[in-house]
Amino acid sequence: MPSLKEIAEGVIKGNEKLVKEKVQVLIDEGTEPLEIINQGLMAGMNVVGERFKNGDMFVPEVMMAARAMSTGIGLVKPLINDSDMLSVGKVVIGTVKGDLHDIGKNLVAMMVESAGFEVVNVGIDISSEKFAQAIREHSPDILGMSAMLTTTMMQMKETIEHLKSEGLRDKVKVIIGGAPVTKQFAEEIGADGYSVDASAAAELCKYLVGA
Amino acid sequence: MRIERDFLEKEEVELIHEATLEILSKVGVEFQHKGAIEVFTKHGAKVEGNKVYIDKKLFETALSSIPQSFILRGRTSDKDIEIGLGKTVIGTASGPVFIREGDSRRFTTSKDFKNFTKLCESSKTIEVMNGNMTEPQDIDIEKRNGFRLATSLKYSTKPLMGFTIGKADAQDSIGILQSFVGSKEKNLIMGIISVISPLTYDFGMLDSMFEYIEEDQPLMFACCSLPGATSPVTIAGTLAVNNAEVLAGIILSQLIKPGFPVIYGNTTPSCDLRYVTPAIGGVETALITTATATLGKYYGIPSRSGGSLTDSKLPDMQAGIESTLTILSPIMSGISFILQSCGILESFNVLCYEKFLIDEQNIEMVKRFCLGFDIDKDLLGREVIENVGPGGHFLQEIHTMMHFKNEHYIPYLSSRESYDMWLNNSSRTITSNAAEEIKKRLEEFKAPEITKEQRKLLSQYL
Repeated sequence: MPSLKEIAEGVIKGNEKLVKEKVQVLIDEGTEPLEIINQGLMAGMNVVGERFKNGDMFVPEVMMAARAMSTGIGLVKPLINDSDMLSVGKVVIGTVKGDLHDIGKNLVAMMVESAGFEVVNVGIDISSEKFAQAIREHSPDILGMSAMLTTTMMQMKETIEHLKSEGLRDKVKVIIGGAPVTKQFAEEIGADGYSVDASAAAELCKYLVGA
Repeated sequence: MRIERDFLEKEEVELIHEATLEILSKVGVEFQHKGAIEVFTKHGAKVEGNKVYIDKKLFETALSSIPQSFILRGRTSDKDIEIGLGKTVIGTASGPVFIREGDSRRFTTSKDFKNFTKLCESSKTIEVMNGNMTEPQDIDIEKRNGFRLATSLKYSTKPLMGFTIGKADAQDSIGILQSFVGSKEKNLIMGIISVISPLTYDFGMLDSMFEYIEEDQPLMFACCSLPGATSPVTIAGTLAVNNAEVLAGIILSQLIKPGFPVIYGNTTPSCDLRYVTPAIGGVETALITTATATLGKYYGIPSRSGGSLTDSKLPDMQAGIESTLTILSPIMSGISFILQSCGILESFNVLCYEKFLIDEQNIEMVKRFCLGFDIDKDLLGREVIENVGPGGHFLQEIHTMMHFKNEHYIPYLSSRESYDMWLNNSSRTITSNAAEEIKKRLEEFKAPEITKEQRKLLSQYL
């Protein structure tokens, strides 16, 4: 019988095939689904997050690990009642209008998901109206906006203004990130937080929901 | 694709070669040693007082016996190192009297010698140690050599270079190695015989040379002239004189013992005629180095240059520019052995802790550059390009995982993170990163195991 530790190791190594096999064996043998997630898949991803933060792991390795983890979760999830899924909070994330940069935002989504959040990734080139719509639809705790270009970062401000006019600003915490974005900019446009990289983003989300 | 080649045309090498033959046969070389003169006389060279004239025939006969490479022995066989035949071996500093550490500049001490021996032993870049690495000023001159060799043997297993200023120096260096390993085997320790440019060998060095040859311990012959002062101001003229004077010593070694392993060395720098001092970080130093590599290959002798050299007083931008130029040129031109590779500041006067580590990294970067890249079916990545397609990304692909570490060197002391990450992380510079890493390396250092007898032998020097 494979151990939960082996599953965690598989996630750390980014070995999707191995994780898939071992998770299936554990499911068949009747291991508690939440146990597989928390003590196997998530435990592995926590190590990955820590190592990435310390500069000991590279983005491709983190992405491989995250892929292995979500494949594992994909197998386990149908066996769990929605009410049993322990979610720390819900995050809607997207790249702002006029900006097609996807990778950094997805990496943040992945790290935030690994930290136990439910993540709704709304994609790229998202207008302020679409962000507002997503908030109405999903009622998230946090809205994450990404911009890679100096020319699109002002869209973040516009979105925040739009949320205010729609009466939605107080319903979510807003965090921003991306290459040209700074802490000072975040303060200037009235965002609730900013982080320098994906693992810091996950910590920021936890901090904002008080987890 | 490789960044490695000879930069002199064949006709240019031959012009230097012809000029060299003429210098040796018509101008002559001074050997201030009766024994040396006797050797030349015995082999039919024309001799006037201490001046020796070497003709083409003697030149060719003597050079025909030189091995293209040789093994310098480490204390354990995995540390043995082959010098010659294409590979570039990296050696330590040699001779600084001062230390720079952070903001302080001071005389070097026995503690610095120990520290740098440890840093060299734990270095992935440096392969050969040097008894003459620094000149610890807190140890009496009579006891200094013994201390330095014993310290090197206590903390290091890598091949070692010894002292050559006079016969006693040579005997002590070779003797301590022979006692330490308990045998009189060949190639235990290497010496440097320096020419006094132009075209002169002094008694002490030659006396030491006889000792090394007698005991079958390899030698490096090297010059360090100042163009415009102790060699012609032109690079071509300097190379002709340098070539003649270094080869004259090498010829003597082969007349004494044909097949004796030697290195063809040239550390001639540029010379700034405002001060008539060596400008070791000069562009011309790098040019002379590339010619040295080519000449070594032309004669079939392992070659030697300096590397990571600078005249700057601080590990600053000047140091970075000059060090990169002077380490790139030997590695890309295929020099066999580099002395003064890490930590040098102030025209050889200073050894700098932080720069030692920065130079290590720089050497690895230059090696990576000179290695170039390969092109084959897998590396072209046809399959992964197809899988990802337009608009996708490669971060999650096995192909990326397989190759990212080999294809891209990561300089850990350098800053590449975003501005805010850098700011959050104490705004660290390459020098502050190096300082931190040095502390870690010294703390983690474990001395190699030695026998009770070896410890007893070393204790009389320490």
